[in-house]
Amino acid sequence: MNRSFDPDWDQLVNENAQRVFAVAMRILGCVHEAEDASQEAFAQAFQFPKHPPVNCWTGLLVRLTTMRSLDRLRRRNGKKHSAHPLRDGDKLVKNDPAGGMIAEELRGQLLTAILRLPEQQASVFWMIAIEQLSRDEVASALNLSVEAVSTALYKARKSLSVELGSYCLGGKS
Amino acid sequence: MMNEFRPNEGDSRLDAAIAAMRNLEIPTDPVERIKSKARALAQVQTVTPSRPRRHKRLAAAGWLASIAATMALAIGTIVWLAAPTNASAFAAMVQNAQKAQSVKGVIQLQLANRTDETPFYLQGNKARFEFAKGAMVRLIDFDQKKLMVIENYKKTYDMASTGKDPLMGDNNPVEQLSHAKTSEAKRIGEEWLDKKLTEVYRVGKFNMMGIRGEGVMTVWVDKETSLPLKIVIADTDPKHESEIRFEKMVWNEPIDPALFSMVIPEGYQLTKETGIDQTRPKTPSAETKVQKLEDNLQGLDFHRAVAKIHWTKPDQVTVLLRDPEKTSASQFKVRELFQVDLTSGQKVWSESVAGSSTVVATSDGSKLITIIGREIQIRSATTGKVESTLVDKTLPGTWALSPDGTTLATTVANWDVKEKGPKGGLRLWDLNKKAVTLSTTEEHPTTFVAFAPDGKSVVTSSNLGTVRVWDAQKGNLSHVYPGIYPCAFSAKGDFLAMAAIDPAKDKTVTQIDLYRPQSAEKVQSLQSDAGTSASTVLGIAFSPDGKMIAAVDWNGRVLVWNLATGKLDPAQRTHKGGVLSLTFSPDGNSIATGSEDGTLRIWTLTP
Repeated sequence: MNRSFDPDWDQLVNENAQRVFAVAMRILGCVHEAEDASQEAFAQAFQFPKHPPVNCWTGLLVRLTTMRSLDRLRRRNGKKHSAHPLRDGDKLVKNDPAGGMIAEELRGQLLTAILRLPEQQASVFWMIAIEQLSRDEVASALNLSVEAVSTALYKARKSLSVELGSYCLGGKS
Repeated sequence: MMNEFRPNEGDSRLDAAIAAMRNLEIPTDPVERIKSKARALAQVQTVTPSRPRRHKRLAAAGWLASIAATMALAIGTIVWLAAPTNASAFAAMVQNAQKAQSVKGVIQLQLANRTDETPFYLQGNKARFEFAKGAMVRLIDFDQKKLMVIENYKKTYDMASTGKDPLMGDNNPVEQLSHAKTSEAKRIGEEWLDKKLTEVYRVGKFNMMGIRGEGVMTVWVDKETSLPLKIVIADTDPKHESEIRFEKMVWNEPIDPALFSMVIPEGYQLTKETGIDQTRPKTPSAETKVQKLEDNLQGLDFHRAVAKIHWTKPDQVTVLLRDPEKTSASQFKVRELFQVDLTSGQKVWSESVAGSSTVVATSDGSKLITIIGREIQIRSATTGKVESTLVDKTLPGTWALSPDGTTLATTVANWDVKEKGPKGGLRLWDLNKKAVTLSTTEEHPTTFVAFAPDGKSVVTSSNLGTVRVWDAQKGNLSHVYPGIYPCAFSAKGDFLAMAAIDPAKDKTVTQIDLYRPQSAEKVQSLQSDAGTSASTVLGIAFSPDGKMIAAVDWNGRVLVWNLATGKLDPAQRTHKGGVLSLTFSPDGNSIATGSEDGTLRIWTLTP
């Protein structure tokens, strides 16, 4: 194997481990599973074809982690039933019971809605809205044009907005 | 944080969800582990030589050879397993175990990913079990019919006159062995265990933890002594991960008699039963005596907490009786389903229902459903006898029946804080097909479930809130309410009432909120005059005509509101203990309430 195009792997791991884990943790809500998903993403990135050279490793790693984590979440909930938030929210509840509960509900509803999106839209939305990558970085990571990224983001937001609109919290406080 | 939504506000709700997602606290500890593993991965990938091409054919041939060898081994194993069983050797081992002088070891009980380890000692007619790393010790003297429970963390002890500890059945390896059908025993091979050669036997259709014939017992028998070194009783379905293991068993070695001593440790106090009437005689469950309350009070005294009430006929109720919460462990008696005539106070029938936490009835009152362990029991309301059963593998928490009586909703409540992932859930059973038709998960243990009167939706809640309404057909979450259980639908289904949680006061409920289930719109908040003494609400019920709503709480109060005016009925209705259950009479003229104080009270309502 010709490794002359390889990046500095140690540096890449150091720079991206935190972000990769955060992606997995936000989606999966479970340290154990998030660690596994992060590991899988690194393993996949390591074996990623080096020709042509990868322009944005961070984008690639975020994309791989997002897809792996969403896959895991989908498998965990089964195909038949709606996915649901699966996280240990004890900390948040202790700090701010009402706010914590609502935030947890919102996160769960967002994940449920994201699972219903086409894969590409889900990845684009997550990378831009949650991970705050630029459209250029996402375009490079997903091998799309910037316009295609913008269109996918627009469609994703529209679907998610409708989906989240179907939930409602009763009453005012 | 927004907590009101209208359909045109989807965008802002999405923004709020994105903010909530970004603000999630992420632990930092695992990052270092990920880094080191990822670095190691690079090293492994770099140094692993790729297999030369010329070796690939040889490797393929090796694979074929190994597959053939595996198949031959498998065929051999099948032939060997089909050989005649060695039931008599197993029976001899059971006899040996029963005759043994002593045995000690460790019990590992695994129940849905939760493992408990309990050292045990049996010698002669004495037994000792050390639970929770010795925090609680149970000593039994079978001859003298004595049970002593020592709680080391509280420095308390308790004594009871019984030679039958309810825990003994599952925890006694000799008793477990004697339950095995020896004719079912098959010798499945040999194995070295702690440098001792053992013969391994398997017994199928073994009853475990209240599930009939759902387990398999595997026993490793020391070839030299013909005594078991290890026993594993496991659920046949590997997904459930339920098993009891008896490990490190040592037979016929003298055990220090001091371990069985029932001398009260210095400085230990007798367990105090606070909160229940000490003067009352403790009546065994089989002889529950019902007394009518004094003339000026309507109701019955069962001397046991009345956890659930069903008004089966105009003059007849079925109640679920349990020990009051403060009863010490050694005094626990099985729960009992008790049908009683309200006019005469005479028992119609009673049935032991072990640990069943609640009982639900079909809308026509003809059937009752209890769940013991994993067994769902459908009983006749006329006799109380079990007519048919189902097995739910998830250890149901609580349950509810659809109005047409065809669907049973059970909940999942996993309290293991160490375990990650969903702790709760909802399962819907088709009682005709005896199968689960829908299953959803929730993040917190689900402790409440009820059907809407049309049977199309189900409401669930947990001890931490919120209240969620699910589509009973599709399993979709349709509404989330900022409340906590208990909840109740009005008879027509036009109102959903729930306790409103006050985040400032832990689990304290100061009001009951009423919503329109169709629009999730809050229409009314009902408050009591309790002020600071507000307590945990344990039950809410609408009157059959929907004009009144009643709630009961742990402070012993029974509160009734007029829904037209929203005013609290000023009449004082109180029990001496927390009120656990309530139900309106079929004509709506009275309420029956059951309490920790052991009484069932009937309150006549003034129009």
